[in-house]
Amino acid sequence: MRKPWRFYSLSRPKLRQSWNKFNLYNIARAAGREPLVNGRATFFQQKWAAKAKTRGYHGEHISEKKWVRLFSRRLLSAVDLPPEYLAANDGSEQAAGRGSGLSTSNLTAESYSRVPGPSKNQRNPTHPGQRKSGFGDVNSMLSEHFQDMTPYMQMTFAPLERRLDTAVFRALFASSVRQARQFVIHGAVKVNGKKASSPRKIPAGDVETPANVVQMVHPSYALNPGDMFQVEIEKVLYGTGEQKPQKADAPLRQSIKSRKKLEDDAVDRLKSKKAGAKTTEGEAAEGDAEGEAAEVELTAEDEIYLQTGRLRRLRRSAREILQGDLRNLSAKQKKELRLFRDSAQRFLSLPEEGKMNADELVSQLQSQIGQLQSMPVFKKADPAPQTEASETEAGEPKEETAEDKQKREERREKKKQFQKRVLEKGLEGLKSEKDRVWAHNIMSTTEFSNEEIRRLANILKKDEENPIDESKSYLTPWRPRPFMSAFAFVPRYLEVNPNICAAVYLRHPVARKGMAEVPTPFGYLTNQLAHNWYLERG
Amino acid sequence: MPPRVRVPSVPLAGLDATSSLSKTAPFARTFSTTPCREKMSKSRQRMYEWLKSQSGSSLAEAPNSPNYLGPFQDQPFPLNPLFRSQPVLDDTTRELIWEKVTVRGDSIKAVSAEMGVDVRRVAAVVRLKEVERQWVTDGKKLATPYAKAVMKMLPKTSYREGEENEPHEPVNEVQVHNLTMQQLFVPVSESRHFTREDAATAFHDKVLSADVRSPQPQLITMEREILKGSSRAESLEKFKEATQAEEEAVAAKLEKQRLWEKKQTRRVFKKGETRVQFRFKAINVDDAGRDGRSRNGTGWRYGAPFEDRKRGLVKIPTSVP
Repeated sequence: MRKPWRFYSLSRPKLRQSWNKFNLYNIARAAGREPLVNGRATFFQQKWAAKAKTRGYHGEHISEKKWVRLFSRRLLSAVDLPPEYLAANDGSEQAAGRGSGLSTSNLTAESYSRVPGPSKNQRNPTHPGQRKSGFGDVNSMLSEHFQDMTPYMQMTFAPLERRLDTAVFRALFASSVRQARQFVIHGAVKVNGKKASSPRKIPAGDVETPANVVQMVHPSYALNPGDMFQVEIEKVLYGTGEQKPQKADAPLRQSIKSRKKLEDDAVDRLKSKKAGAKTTEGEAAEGDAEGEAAEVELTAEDEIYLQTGRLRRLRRSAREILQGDLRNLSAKQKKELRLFRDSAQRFLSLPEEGKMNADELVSQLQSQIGQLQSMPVFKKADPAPQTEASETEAGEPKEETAEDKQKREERREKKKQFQKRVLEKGLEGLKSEKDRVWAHNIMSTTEFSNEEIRRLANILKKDEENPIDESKSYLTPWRPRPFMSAFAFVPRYLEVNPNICAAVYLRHPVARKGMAEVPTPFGYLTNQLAHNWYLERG
Repeated sequence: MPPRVRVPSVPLAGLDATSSLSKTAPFARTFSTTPCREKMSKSRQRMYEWLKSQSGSSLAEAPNSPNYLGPFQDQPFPLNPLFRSQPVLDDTTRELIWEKVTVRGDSIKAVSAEMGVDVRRVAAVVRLKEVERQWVTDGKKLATPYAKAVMKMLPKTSYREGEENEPHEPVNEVQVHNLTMQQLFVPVSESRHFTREDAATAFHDKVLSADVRSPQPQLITMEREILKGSSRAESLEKFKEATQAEEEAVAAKLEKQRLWEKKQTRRVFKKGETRVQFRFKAINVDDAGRDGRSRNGTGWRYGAPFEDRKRGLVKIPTSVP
C-alpha cells in the first residue's frame, strides 16, 4: 500500500513499525495511550479508535481486506510444565479433597519452574508523558490483574508476525517493515536458501533446476515453523547503519568543488600517464625507479586539451553570472563579461586544428581573463593557474652523489628487515593479499616502535573488519543508526544469528502467563477493543 | 497611504557582510527589522527538546548495554508491560551448543535439557552456526560490526560449563490445546483418582495428556526414576542413552528412506564418466487421478487447464522445501 501522507505525525500521532526518531518520540510520550474507558465514547467508537490505532502499527502496509482474511480468533498460548512437576504429580492433586470442602492446594506447575521472569527493576520514566494520571485512574485499576493472567488479547496481531517482511524487521535486519518489504521484493531475502519460492508446483518426478524455479519474491509469504530466512549483509548494513549525510545541498557544494577538482584531476591524469610510460621505458635501462616524480613535459596538444576544459568552465560561469542578478555589476564589468563569453564561444567552436593556430584569439582571451580576475565571483571559478605554476617550479630535477645512493641502499635494506619482523609479529589478521601489500607499503615508508606496531596491527585488523569505503550506500565505518537501541529486541519465536544476518522462525508466537510474545506498543485494553472489532460481533 | 517605493529584493553587496539578518534568512527583505521566525511548530520543538535532553540523547548513541524506553528495565514499549525484551543466547553459548552437538556428538534433547534451551532453538542454533562456518571456510565476509553492535544492545544469557546456570527458557513447554480452552463440568465420584489422562479424555477422545505431548518425555521418565530412588547421575546416563537411541533411530529411518528412493531410480552413466547422465523412475499414469490433477501425478495432462493465473487463487507459496 502507498505510504500515507504524514506518516510520522506529531499532531495526530500513529505508532509505526519503524526506528524513526519521530516514532520513538511518539512511543516515548505514550501517544498510543487508551483514553479513559469511563469517558463518553460508545463501545463502537472505542472499538473503532482502538482498531485504527493498532492497525497503524500492525501491518499498516497491508490492506484491511488482507488482514481481515488473516485474522484468527484462535489465540495461541503455552504453559511451562517442568518435568519435575509432571514426574511428581499425576494431576489428581488439583482435584483432591475438593468434594469434602478442602481448599485448593498451592501446588502448581509454576512453583517448580526455575526460568527467570521479567525484570522488576523500575526506573524513572524516560518521558514525563508516561506517568500515570494518579488516583482513581480507571484504566490502571483495570490493568492491575493483567500480570497474573495469560494476556490473550495481546496476541490479536500474531498472524502478521508470521509474514516474511515482519519477521525480517523483528530480527533487526531492517529499520522498518516497509524497508524489510522492499528488501524482500528486491530479492535480498532468501527463505531456506532460496531467493524464490516457486509458485508453480514442481511435479513429483521432476528435478528442481534453476529454470524450473520461478524467481518471485513475496513479502507476504507466511513462514512455517523451522523456516530459515537470510538477508544480504549489504542490505542489512544499509538498513541498520547510520545514513550518509543528506544530499539536499549537494549540487551547490558540488559545483564549487568539481570546478576546482576537475582541473587538477585532468593535470594529474595526464602527468601520471606520461610518468607511467616513461618508467616502463626507463626501468629497463636504469633497473631502479625512484619514487620521486619524474619531470613531465606537457605537449602542446595536452596543453590545448587542458585549456579548452578550463575555458569551457569559465565561459559557463560567465554565462551564469550574466543570467543572474546584474545589479551588483558595473557597466564595464558586464561589458567585459559579455565580450569574454562571446570570444570564448568563438574559440570553442573552432575545429581542433584551428585551435592550435588561433594565436590571436588566444592572446585576446588571456588578456580578457586577466581583466576579469579582478571580479571575485569570476576568480572563484578559476583556481587553476597558480597551482600549475607552483608545480612546474617544484618539479626540478636534483643531482645526487654516490654517497647519497649508498645511504639510500642501506636504508632500504633496513626497511626490508623491519617489514619482515612486523609480518611475523602481528599481521596474521590480514587475510587478503591486497591488504598485506597495503600494510607493507605503510611499514616501508615510516619508522615505528614496537608498541606502535602492535597498535597499528590492531587498527588494521579493525579496519579490515569495518573498513572505510566511500562506495557503500551507508556511512563508513559502519555504525548503528541513532535510536536503534530503543527498538533492539528479538522475540523468542525467532533465533537470530547476526553474523550471517540469518534467522530461523522457530514456532508461532504464543502467550504465557503475564507475557505475550507479539511485540505491540499498545496496552491490553486497546488490543482487547481491537480484537473485539475483528470478532465482528455487534 | 504611504508611497510605494520599490526596494531591491536582494540586499546590496555592502550590506550583505554586515547584517546578521541575511545569514539566517537569505531572502528576507532588507527593510524588515525583525528576524525571520524559524518555522517549527510547538510539538516539533518539544520533540527536539526531548531528543536533546538526557534521556533522548542517551538513546541516540550506541550503548554497551540494553537501553529501553519503558519503566521496567527490559520493557521496550512504555504502555505494554506485558511485552518484555527477553534475553538471547550470547555468542560463546551458541558456539558451545554447536560444539556439543556436532563435535562431541551429544543428542539435541540432552543438550537442550542440560543447558535449559528449547529443543527447536538448539537445532536452529546448530543450523545457523553450520552456515556461518561454511561462510568462514568460503572466505565470505561476516557482518561482524553489525553483530557486535546488536549483541551489545540485547540482553543475553550465557552458559558457563561446569557451573550452576539459570535456564534460558522452559524446556518442557506445552502448547495449550484448543479443545482444552473450554470450561467443562464432569461429574466424578469423590473416591476416583482423576489424573491428567482422565482430564484429557474428558475434553475429547483423541486429546493427549501433557505427558505425551511433552517435547522431552525422556526427561519426565528420568525425573520419575529419581523420585523412585535411583541416583541422579545414573538416571541422567540412562536419559542420555535413550535420547541418543531415539536420534539414531530417526537417522536410520531417514537413511532407509533415501536408500529406497535410490533403489527406485535407475541411473545411466556416460561411458567412462562418474557423473550420472539420466535418472529413470517408474511412473504410473494412474497417479494423476481421474481428473488428471492429482498432486501425485507427473507432468501436465493434455486438456487439464492450468489454474495458476485464475483470479482469486493464491499464488503465494505456502511452503519452501
